Amino acid sequence: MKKLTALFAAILLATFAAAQAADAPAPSDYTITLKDHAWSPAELVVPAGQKVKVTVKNLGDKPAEFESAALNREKVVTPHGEITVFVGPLDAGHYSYVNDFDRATTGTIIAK
Amino acid sequence: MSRYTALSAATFAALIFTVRPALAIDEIYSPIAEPGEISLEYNGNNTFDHHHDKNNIAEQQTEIEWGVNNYWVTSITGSYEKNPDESWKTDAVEWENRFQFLPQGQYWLDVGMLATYVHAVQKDDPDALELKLLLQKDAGRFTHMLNAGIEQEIGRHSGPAPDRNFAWSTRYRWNEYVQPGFEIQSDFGTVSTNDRFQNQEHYIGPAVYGHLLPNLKYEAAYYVGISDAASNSAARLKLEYEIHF
Repeated sequence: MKKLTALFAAILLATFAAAQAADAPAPSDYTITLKDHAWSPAELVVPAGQKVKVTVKNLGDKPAEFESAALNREKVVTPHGEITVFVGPLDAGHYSYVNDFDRATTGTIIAK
Repeated sequence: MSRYTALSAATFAALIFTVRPALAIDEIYSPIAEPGEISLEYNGNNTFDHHHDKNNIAEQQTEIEWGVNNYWVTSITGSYEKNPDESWKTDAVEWENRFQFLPQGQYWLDVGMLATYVHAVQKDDPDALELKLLLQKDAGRFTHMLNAGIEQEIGRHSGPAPDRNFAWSTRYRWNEYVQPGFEIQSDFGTVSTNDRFQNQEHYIGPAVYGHLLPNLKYEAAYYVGISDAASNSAARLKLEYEIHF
C-alpha cells in the first residue's frame, strides 16, 4: 500500500508541477466558427512561439469534431456549442484541421 | 451506414479474428479524454523467443470505452491470455477509469491517472488493482507519453507486494495516417523480489500510429527484448473504432 500512496503523491506532484510550470503570460484568445460546412476564418493567423487559446464555436445544427493531427487535438463540438483548445507554442508554419464528421470542411492555423 | 463506417467495421472485425497478440506489454495511455465518444478497442500482443517457455505468450483484449465528460473516460475490458503449450483462456474482466486532471495544452504537461480493477475469471487467480500515472507532452510535431504504474493483487491467492511497470512512447506526427515513433515497455517485477535489470522484462522498439480510416485508429509496435528475462522480441497491435453520439 506504500507504493499506492507513493504513486498518488507522484500524481499530485506532477499535477502541481504542471500547473506551476504553467504560466507566464495568459495566452491570447482567438475564435473559429463553423457554419454551413465552412470554418471562419478559413485561415487563422496566430503568433509563432506563443501559446494561444482558440474557442471553437459550432453554429450549425449537427455535431462537429475539431480534429488536427498536426496539432494533436481531437474534440467534439455539440450543435450550437463551443469548446476551448489550447495550442502551442507553435513553430512558424501551417497547421491544418478538419471537421472529422464532414472531412471536406478544412481550415488552417498559420503561425508566424 | 456510410461506406467508411461499413469498411471500418469490417476491417476491425477481420483484424480481431485474425491477429494474435504478450504480457508485460500494454497499450500506452494518453491522459486526454475524448468526451461524447464511444470506442470499440482491440489490443493484442505476442512474444517470440527461441526458448520454449518465453515464446508465444500472448494476450488479447476487447474493450468498450465511453468518454463521459472532459475529465473522465470509463471502460469495460475482456481479457484473454495464452501461455506456451496452453490454449487460449478467459483471463479477466477489467473496469478501467481514466482521469484527465488538466485541460489539454493549457499547462506545460498534461497529467492524468488510470485506475483499473481487474476481476480474475479463473478460480485460483487473484483480483488486482492497478494505478498508473499518465503524462503527455507535445513538443512541436512530437508527442511524448509516459505511463508509470503499480499493480497490487488483492483477495485470495494474492501476492504480498505490488508489481511495478513503466512505458514510454515518442511519436512524430507526420500526418494523420502515419506517425512513426518508438516505445519502451518495462516490467520491474515486485518490490519484494527487487530483481536486477537482467531479471526484469525490458523491451524497446519502433512503433507506428495513425488512422487506417477516419474513424479507425491503429497502433503497432515491434519490440526487442533487452534484458535476459524478456523474450527475444514481441509485437503489439491496437485498433480503435470510434463512434460519436
